[in-house]
Amino acid sequence: MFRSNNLTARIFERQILTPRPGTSINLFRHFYENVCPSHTVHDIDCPDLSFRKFTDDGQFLIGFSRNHQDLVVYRPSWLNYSCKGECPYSLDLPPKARRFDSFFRHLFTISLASANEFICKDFFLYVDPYRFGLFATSTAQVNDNAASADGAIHGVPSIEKITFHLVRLDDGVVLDEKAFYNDFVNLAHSTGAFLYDDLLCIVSLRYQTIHILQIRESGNLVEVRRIGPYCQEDDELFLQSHAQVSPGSSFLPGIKQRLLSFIFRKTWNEEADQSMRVQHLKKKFYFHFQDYVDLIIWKAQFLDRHHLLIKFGSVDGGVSRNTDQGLSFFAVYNMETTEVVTFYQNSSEEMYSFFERFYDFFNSVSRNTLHAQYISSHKNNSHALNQLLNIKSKSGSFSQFVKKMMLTIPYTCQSHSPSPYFDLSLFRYDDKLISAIDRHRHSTEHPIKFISLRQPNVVKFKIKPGAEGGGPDGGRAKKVSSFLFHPYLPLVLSIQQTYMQPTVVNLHFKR
Amino acid sequence: MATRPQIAAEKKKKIEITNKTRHPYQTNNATKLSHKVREIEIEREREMGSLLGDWPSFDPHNFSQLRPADPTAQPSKLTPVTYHPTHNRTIPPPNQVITTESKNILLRQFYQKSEEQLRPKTKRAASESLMPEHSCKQPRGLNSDA
Repeated sequence: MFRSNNLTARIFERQILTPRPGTSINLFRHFYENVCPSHTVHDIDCPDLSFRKFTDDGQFLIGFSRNHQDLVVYRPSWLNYSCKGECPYSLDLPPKARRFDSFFRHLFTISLASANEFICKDFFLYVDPYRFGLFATSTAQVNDNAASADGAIHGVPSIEKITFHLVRLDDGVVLDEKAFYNDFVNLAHSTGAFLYDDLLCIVSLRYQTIHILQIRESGNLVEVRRIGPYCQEDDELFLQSHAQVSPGSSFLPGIKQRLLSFIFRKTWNEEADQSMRVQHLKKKFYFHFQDYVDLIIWKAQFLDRHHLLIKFGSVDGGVSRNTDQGLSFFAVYNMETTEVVTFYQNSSEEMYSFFERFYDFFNSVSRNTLHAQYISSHKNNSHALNQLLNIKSKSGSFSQFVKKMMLTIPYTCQSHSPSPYFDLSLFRYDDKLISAIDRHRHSTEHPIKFISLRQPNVVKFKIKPGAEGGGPDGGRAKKVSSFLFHPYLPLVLSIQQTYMQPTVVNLHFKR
Repeated sequence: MATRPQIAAEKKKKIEITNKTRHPYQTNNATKLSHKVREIEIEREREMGSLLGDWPSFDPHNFSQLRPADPTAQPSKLTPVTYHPTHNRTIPPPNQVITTESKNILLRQFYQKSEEQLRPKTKRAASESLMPEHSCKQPRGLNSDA
C-alpha cells in the first residue's frame, strides 16, 4: 500500500518498497489513480466507421465499415508534438491533437464479406497468443420454422451461410474460414462461441451441435469434435454399421441420452427405500420425460480443456434475448469421458452457492493471459461482494434472485474490458451508466464520474459522452453511447449515436 | 611548533603504540613524522597480507586485527545443527509426489456433488455419518511436544 497519494512520492516509494508476495501487479495498478484520462477532445474528426473494441492486449483497435463489409484495423499510439522554447504545461494542445491519426495509425482495411453477406459487428474474439482475430459474416436471417429432414429442430431460424474468418491482425491476412450452411449460431455479442486458450466452441442452435475447433499456430481452424447427435468420434460409424434403423428415427441424440441417463441415475438414488423407488421415479422422471427430451442447448462454455458447461432450455427461449426467467438447466459435460458430471436447475441453491463462491472459475481463461485475471468480480473484490450481498438481502424472493444471477452464466467470453479504470478496488463508478461489459447504454447529459476508492470525495476523472455544448438539439433526442477503454493506456473512445444524426466520437486521454 | 624532544617522544610513542592494540577510530596526529611512521606501518601490513589487499582505506590500521582466513578452514562445510524428530507421525509416504491438481476447484466441487448424488442412499446412511470423516488423522501420542 502506498503511503501517499502524490505521484512523485509514490515513485520514490516504489524504489524501496517490496510488495507482499504475488501482489506486485496489484500494487502497481494503484498508479492508475494518478494517471487518468483528464482531457477530452470532443467530436474528433474520425473516419465514419463503427468501432468495435480495443483488443485485450491493447495492440489493435477494431472497426467495421458502415456497409458492414470491410474490416478496418488501427494501431493505438500516442500524440507527440514539440514546441519551441519552453513548453509550459498550460499551453494549448496543437491542432494535431484533434486529429484521429495522431492517436491511431491505420494498419489495413480488408473486405471480409462478399456481396450478400454482412459482417456481424457484434461478434469479435481475439486469440491472444497468436494475435489472430475471429470475425463472423452471415447472410440474411430466414425465419424458417419447418424442420428439415437433416435433423434441424423447429422454432430456430435459419441463416443460409455463416462464415467464421480467422484473420491475422498484424498484417490482415485471412488465414482460415469455417462455414456453416443453413444453420443458426447466436452471434450477438459473441454469445454463440467461447474461446479458451486455443480451443473454440461454437454452438449451432439449429442442429443442436457443439463444434469444438482448435486454432493452430499456423492459422488453421481444425475441427476436433462435434458433440450433439453423437458423443464419441466413432459413434456414428458404430451406429450405422450395427443398427438397422433409418436415420431420424427413434434414437435420441447422443448428448440427450447422456443427460437422461444421468437424471435417471440421480432420481433412482434419491430414494433410499427400495420399494418406493419406482414410484419416486415415475413422479420425478417419467412425468417430466418429454420435457427433458424437448430441452435444447442454449449456450455453452469451457470450464477447462475437457469440461463444458452447457445451458439447456426450452425451444422458444434459445434464440430470443428476452430476460424471461423461465426454467433452464445447467449441465457439466466431460468431453473425454462423454459423461454428464452434474445437472442443476437454474433456481438451484447449490448452483448459486458455486456462483457466489467460485465465480472467477466461470470466467475461465488459461493462466497465460494476464490481463483477464484482474477483472473485478464479486469473487475477487470485497466491494463487489458487498454489492451482491446487498442485492441479495433486498430482493424479495430468493429463487427469483437466484434465477436472475444465473442469467450471467455461462459466461460470455471476452465481454469484460480489462481496463484498470473498471477495477473496483481502485475506482467507484455508476454501474448503470458505464461498466466493464461492452454494451450500448442510454447516455445522460451529466458526465460520468470515476471516484477514487481511497479518497471518497475526490473525483479522479469524468467522462462526458455528449458533445461539448450539449448537442445541437439541446439533448432532447434519445442517445445511445458506448465506451471503448484501452486496456492499459489512459485512452477512452466514447461513441454517441443519435437517431438520424451523425455519430459523435469523443476521445478522452491524459494530457 | 613542537620542540625536538617532544617530537622524539612522540615518535617513540608511535612505535610502541603500533605494537599494541589500536582502536579503529584512533586518528594519527597530522605531523610529517607521523606520516612517515604510518608509511612504515602500511608496508609492514602489506607484507603480512592484509585481508583487504591493496585497497585504499581511510585508515590502514582499521582492519589490522583481522588475520586472513585459514585457507584450509571452509565454513561451508560446517554441519548445521540437525533436528531429529521424536515421532514418525509426520513422515510423508515413501512414494509421494506433489503436483498441482489439474481440475480447478469449481470442477472438483461439481464432481464431489455428483458423487454424492449418484451414490445410492441406503437406510444405513445414519450409521455412516458416525464414522469419523478424517480417518487419516491419528490421535496425539503421550510424548508429543507441547
